[in-house]
Amino acid sequence: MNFLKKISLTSDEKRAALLMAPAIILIFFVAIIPIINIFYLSLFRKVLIFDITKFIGFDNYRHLLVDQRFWNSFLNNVNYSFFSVAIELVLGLTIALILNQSFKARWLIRTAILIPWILPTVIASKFWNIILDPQYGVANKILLNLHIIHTNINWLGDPFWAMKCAILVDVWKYTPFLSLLLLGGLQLIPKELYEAAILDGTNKLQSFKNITLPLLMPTMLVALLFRTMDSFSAFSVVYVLTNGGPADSTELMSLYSFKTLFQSLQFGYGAAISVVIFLCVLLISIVYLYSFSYKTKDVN
Amino acid sequence: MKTRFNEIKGRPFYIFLLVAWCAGPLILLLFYSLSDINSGYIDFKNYVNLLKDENFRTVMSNSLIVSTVSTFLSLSLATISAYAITRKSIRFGQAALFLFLAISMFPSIATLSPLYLIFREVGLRDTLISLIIPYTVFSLPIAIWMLSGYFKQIPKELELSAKMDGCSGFTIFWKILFPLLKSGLATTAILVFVTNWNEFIYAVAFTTTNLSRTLPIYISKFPTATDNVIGQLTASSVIGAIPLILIILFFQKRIVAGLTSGAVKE
Amino acid sequence: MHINKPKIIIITTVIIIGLILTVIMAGLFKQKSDNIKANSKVTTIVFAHYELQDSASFGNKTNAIKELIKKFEKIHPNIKVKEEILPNHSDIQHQYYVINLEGNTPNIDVLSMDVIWIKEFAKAGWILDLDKYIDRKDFQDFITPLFAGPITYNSKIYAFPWVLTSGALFYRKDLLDKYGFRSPQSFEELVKQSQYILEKENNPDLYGYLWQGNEQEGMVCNVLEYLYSLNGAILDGDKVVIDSPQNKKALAFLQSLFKSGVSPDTVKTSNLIINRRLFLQGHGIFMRDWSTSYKQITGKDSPLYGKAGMANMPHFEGYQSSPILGGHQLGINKSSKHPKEAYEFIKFITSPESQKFLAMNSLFLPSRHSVYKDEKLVKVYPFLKTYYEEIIPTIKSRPLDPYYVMFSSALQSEFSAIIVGRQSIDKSLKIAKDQIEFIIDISKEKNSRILTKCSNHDKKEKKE
Repeated sequence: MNFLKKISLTSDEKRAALLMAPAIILIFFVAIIPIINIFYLSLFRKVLIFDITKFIGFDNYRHLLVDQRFWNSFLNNVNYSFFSVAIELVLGLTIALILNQSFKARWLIRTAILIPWILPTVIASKFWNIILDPQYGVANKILLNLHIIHTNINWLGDPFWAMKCAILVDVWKYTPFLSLLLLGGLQLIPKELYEAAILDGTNKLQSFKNITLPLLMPTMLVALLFRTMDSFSAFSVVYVLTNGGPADSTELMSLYSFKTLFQSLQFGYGAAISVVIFLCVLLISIVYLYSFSYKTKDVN
Repeated sequence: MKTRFNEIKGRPFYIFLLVAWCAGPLILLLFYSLSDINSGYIDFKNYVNLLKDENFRTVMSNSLIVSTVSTFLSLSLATISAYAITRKSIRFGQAALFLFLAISMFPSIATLSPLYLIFREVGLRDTLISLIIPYTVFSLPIAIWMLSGYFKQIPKELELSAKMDGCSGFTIFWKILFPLLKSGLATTAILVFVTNWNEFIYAVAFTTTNLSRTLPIYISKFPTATDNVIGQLTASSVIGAIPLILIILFFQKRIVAGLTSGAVKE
Repeated sequence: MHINKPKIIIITTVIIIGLILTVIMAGLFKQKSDNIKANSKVTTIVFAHYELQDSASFGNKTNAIKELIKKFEKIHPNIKVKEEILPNHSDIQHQYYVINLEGNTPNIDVLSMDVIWIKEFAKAGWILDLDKYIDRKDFQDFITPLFAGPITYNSKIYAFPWVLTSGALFYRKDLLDKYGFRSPQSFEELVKQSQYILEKENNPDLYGYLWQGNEQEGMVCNVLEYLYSLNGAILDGDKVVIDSPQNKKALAFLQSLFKSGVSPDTVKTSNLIINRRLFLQGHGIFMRDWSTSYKQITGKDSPLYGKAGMANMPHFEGYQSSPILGGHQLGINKSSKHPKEAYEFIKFITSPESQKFLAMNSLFLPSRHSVYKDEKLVKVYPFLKTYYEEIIPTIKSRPLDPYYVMFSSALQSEFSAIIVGRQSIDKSLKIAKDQIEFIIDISKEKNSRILTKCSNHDKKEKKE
């Protein structure tokens, strides 16, 4: 009883709970329950086509361990996430540093920079699809004219290039967003620090290392967190660009899960793959949050 | 002194490159959609054909309905919740906010199959409602998070003095808080609208006929790069991009502020 | 001042969006009220199919299916037929049907199905058993040896044969004539001819042999033609025999096509559309396509008119040609509210008269004996005679199994890995074997008795 009294709500809290009830109920039913449900679903052999539903415990996970196609998609995903996020971070930081100054045509630049971020991924991927077409694409024409290549390259058809193209589209789409975030972080750094550094006689590189990087670290970590989690469940870029081909060389985990779910309606096995994606994302966020709290302590 | 320190050689050139890299694709899309492969002249026939096409009109209106309705619903619910979290003295406010943020990070693929099974069971599969529901709910957390930030900027004294004057809770909200919140609401609305307009994975899983398809799905169904569809493909892409470009042109400052505020502050 | 400008902008955008919305809504409502009006008098049935004719080759002509529907509506004034046109891509069509039929949609009545789905849909209980409708005598007119396997499940008929198509080799008559070649009978001959012509022509934009390597169902058909020609197989009863030496040999031949420069790298991901475009623009000597493309490639509107020909798929030296059966057959959705009207429509559109009309006016190839023997038609399209007499008897089916589409998904990945050279043949076939065995395990889960019965049945059909 005592315990109940302790958690009994104040009148303000009661009112707040009432106000928040619709949102919380909705989130509970549409987000929380499905997440719990998917763990449950992954313990079943459920093939909708033939109405098969059978509890099989962890068999789906056991099959995942030996499923070459799954491991292929997992490695693809690691490859995709690592390279796209790394390139985006470096490029984004460079752009942010270039833009971190008062200059003319700010309006134009801001408009341009927001375009990749705001365009639907589908349109961006279709656009690159047209550009990278082996026969008619502009990419091959330009490179041929510049004598960088000598025959048409089948960008999206060659397993060597396809993944790189997918990463390119991801980089095109998200670098501007990242550079905006970092620019916001840069603008928070007091200019006085740099002036003081100049008085101390430090050079550009040193002040970048000693002032910019540590102070930008929190923003950078948040940006990285967003991007890594996003890219680990990336779907639309590869779905539209290559549909996982050639030879599954661009098949990411989400795409494999989607195909299992909606092409052959194997809901149990598809759910098991989804659970793995969910756990990966969770793990990434925990790692980042841990290093985040560690770093902030360090700075303080 | 300041500017000289940050000076980077050839900056205008880099900036030109950046602008071309970002905006180039859109210009190329426009070029493809307006050029006639046979004659080489500017030609609006792709657009005319599209607007004549009943399927395209349905898809376009689906997209508009789904995104506006879910944005409106999500914003109304989020405003009330954010108000409750920040304006009432409650104990677990911050924890609840973090929980919401965590939910917004759920990968869509993880909730896709259970939701599909539910919608199929209740007969909502292949309807606009099956999109409005997840769009509303999954934009709720981020909307609540952003709006809470804007609420926090409004001093509590305003409310207290209004209370002293004998205003009711609703009047306080409508007459005092709402006007101050307008720009924050607009920013949040833009971000939520853009996310919902562009959403792909729920749409591709839940919709199977043109009655409920949204624009991204319509565009993704085009076979790639065949001469006879490239015009339609690019034209529909441009039409799909128009609302977004308008948003950038008119609200860019707000978007940048909205995007950066969340990440930079926390 | 600062506040006013954005305000105006916001108001104008809202007005513009509102206007667009109202226009669209008005259009929608009009359409809906039309439907309601129509519904009160007549039943509307929905016919889901893919476009039989390619706009590129029949752009100006009337759409044959639409014409037939008009005719049908004239004969049956109380039935209205609405088309739902699906993209010309087997996997996408399958996904569309699976999701809709599984959801028990009543919005499709007549559905055109690829030969490989009928058993699956029948087993799932999504399509009607048509046995009670069928006029046995009339049914004998269909080319039964070809279709008996695909359209039956547990000895019951679930679909009417409609479009017949099969793998075929298209070649550049002019180029072969120039160097004194006849159309190749064997794959080995094809390679030799390609290499010779490529060397003599010395044109970097000319490719030897185009086929579909893109990861999709069509590619599996392409590959099976090589496996089958060497008497290879995927399944022998319930046993997975995909890693047989014949199969390995056939796949090694496919890989060698790239090494010898006979097939360009584009083929590794090209689909029908890309290949046809290349071939029609004169970039290919040989192309594997479906026989239904005959008129598009060799017809009067084709840029290759008079320069291209079609022949049966080649075979390996000392073996048989094995073109794969494709095409679409018509069935009725079990959740359809108008099965009788749907059947009337199927009966009409698969009738000899309709098939003749379609064969005259579209890329359609008939599925009835009598239509191939129709003198008028054969006079206009003489190739139908050779097709009927020489090619049709050699056509082979893909594995006949309700779980075929799941097998195919595994095959697509692994064949594609072999074609692009991402994995060794041995490894890919081993993975494919594991995957197919896993699917067979699933299939034994439920109704196992029925399934073994059905696979015995399949075996018998294969022997026929």
